[in-house]
Amino acid sequence: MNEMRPRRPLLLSLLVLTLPFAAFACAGEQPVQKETDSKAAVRAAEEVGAEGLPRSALYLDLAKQQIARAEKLMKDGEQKQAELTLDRARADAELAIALAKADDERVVAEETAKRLEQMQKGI
Amino acid sequence: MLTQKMFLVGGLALTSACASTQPSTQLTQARQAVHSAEAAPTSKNAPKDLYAAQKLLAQAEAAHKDDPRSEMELHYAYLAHRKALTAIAHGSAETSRGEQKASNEAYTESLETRSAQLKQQNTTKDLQLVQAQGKLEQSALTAEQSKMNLDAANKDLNDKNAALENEKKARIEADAKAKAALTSLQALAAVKEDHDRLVITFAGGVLFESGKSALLGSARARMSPLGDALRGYSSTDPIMVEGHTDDRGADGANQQLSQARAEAVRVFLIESGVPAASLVAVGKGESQPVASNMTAEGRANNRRVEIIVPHRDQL
Repeated sequence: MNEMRPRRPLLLSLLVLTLPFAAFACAGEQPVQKETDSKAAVRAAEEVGAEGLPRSALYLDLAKQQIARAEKLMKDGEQKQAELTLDRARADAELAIALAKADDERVVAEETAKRLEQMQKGI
Repeated sequence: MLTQKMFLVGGLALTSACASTQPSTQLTQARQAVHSAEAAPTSKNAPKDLYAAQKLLAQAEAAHKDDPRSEMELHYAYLAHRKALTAIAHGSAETSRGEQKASNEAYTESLETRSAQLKQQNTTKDLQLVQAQGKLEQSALTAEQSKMNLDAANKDLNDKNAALENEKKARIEADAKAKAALTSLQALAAVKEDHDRLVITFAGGVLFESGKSALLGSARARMSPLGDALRGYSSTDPIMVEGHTDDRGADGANQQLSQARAEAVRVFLIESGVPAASLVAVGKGESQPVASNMTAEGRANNRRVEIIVPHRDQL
């Protein structure tokens, strides 16, 4: 009569074996996601014309520099430093977007006010 | 000396401790930026960003408290600074959008006002146009009426001119006829013009037998042109037909004879077409001799019939 092998110890063994790999995979994914988010924010800043405005161009440039630094840190295995740098890069890119949009809205508001003034003069 | 060294060492240690607890430049800048965002009136338009900035500043403060000038203090201070500036920018953008909306609404309102004004102006112009068209049509109608009146007046004038022309022609013809009749009469009787009057005298012997009042046949032929000439007489003043005798015989008989002879001539003229109402026969007897009754020639002249036409132009 064959003795049945208990299944639970086998599953436990598999879990113990795979957990470190999963933990390593999750730990490696976070800087990559942050890098993606930061780069997306930079692209968005470029799309709203941040490069053409002095203040927003300054922060956009800072964001790009920080992304480059983060990439180097990731290559050197400095994941934590890379994450922090990417957070700062994203904050700079988002500020560049906000400044560009604010400038754009201001210009449109001025034009609208001017158009209103002209209309009211015409009445 | 020892005391002095202790003071120096203690002072240096205190200075070092104070320097280590002072906030980093990044934290100071973050505080200022967050305070500016909180104070900015536009920041109420970006509450999420402001809240995030405040939260990051709190994390920076906590990191500073745990480990002054640590990497995490600098990191959170950096993020708090950027988030505060982002909050200000977003608030400003939102404010601008609000201004745009207000301007657009005012513009739409002005546009509607302008549109209403233009509509009113157009309505007024349309009304004026309709009134002008009405006036124009009225003028055209008046002009048409005037033209019709003028045409009618012209026609009337032409008719009158034609009538005048016809009248003139008729007058000329009548004058010619009267002249011809007068010429004929002058050949048959004595014709005398007295102002407007015309006195035609027929000798009694030519018209009647002695003592008779019936016209001779030759007399009818002789007086026929006179009948033609007087046929168109239309004056209210009658033509007088006067009979005259010489003084032979009784007055009464002469009176009767002259009346009868005048009547005979009147009847002949009526038969010739002269209106009866235009003829009056009067017997004058021997009362109005034109010559002496002492001679035969004189008596012959006194025996006569005179036809007196008050208006010779009626011939």
